[in-house]
Amino acid sequence: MAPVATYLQTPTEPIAIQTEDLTVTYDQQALWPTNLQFPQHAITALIGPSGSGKSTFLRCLNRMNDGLAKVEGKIMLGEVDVNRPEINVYRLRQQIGMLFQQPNPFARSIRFNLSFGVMEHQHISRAALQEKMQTALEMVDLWSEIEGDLSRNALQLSGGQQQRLCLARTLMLTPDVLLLDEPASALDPIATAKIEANLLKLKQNYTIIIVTHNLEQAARISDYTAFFYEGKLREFDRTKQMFIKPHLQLTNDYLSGNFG
Amino acid sequence: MGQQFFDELKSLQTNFMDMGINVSEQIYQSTKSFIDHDKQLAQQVIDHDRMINGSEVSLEKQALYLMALQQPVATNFREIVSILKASADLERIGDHAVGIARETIYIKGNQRIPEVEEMIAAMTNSVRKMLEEALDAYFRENVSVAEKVAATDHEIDQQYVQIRQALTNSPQLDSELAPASASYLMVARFLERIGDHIVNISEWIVYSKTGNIVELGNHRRD
Repeated sequence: MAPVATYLQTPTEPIAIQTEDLTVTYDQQALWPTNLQFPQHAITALIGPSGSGKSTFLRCLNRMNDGLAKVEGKIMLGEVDVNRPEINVYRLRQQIGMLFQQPNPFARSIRFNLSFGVMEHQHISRAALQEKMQTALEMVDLWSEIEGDLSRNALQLSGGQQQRLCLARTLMLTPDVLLLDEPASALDPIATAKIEANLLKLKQNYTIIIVTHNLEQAARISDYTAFFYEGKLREFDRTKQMFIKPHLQLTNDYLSGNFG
Repeated sequence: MGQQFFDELKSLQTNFMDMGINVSEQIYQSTKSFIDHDKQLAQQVIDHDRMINGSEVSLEKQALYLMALQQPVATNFREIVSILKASADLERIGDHAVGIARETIYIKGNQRIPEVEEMIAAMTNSVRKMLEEALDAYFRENVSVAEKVAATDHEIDQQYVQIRQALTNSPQLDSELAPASASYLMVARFLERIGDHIVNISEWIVYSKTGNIVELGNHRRD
């Protein structure tokens, strides 16, 4: 493989999760060795054209590619390499929660949606559970919208509300890291703005990694941005820096929409 | 636009107002140093200009980040562009204050013309009043006040012409007075230019609120 120009800034903040020479191979190699450090309690956006490897990379972080692809290299969550076979992926996914493009609530009550995961994994009193549910719903600004009525069916909520419910459902398991794969691409601008406001609030306590095709969104909410192209991480820098003065011509062209 | 954007915009507005107040103070101190022949104060004005320049740079950075990252449109966009442009005018006003302070330091001889010094003091007051009213118009988002401020530049221009006439038409034109006269003329000229920059600031206030790029006043831009 011919060497390609890359520019990778080293974050100054403490690192929550990092990859070391992470590669993904389906039938062909989809991700070339990737070393990326995610600052704690910050939002990092992964951007790049379709097929650039950004979603593939994201899905490795909580082992969503297991059984679909060969994932090699290290994924260090603190001091632990979570890419080893002996790691319990169900426990891992409590620590690294995920939100998808389409809202996917269970077709049950809001209460069921929120309590299901917790009841499965923890012994918790009824009162503590109730408090936890309220806190999670407040974090996503849904508590007042549903007027505290947890018995409502989740599918009665609007798309944006469903997505925020799914975010609250993830928060119920008190993860350290939140992975978001295009969480707002199915939502209208107002619902999108609400999700973005949630994320800006949540980053005080969580490390957030978001894949987005919406460059304006990456610019608005992220602290760091990673640019992927043809299966390779090409540029990683503070968002402020990258959106004003990217280091690579390739990044500049992508951000300016000058591809093709 | 999210809450984060409005917080940052507010901080940008506050920083712009602070810069305006500091620049107004620089005009006052520089002419005071000139009239009082206070070289120490003049040096303070010159030193202080570094801070003014620094605030312009940080305002520019703040405005550029907001534009690049938040991509504001409509009123938000116009407001940020206006601050960006008006802060450049404030910075130039600061440079003119430094020019006045330098005259204080370089002025030779002790021959003075009290009547002209009085006229310069009066002109300084007019210019400062004009700047403060422009900042007030900005703060209150008041277009008609901004337009009124720009119209007063006419008076500043007249004051300049009067000082010029007082210097050249002086019957006792004395070679002893020539160096001081040159400095008086320079200072009056700096003040006149400051007036023009305040007109520009008023124009940006109008743009920010109405979206119209206007040419206010009939000031010379030579």
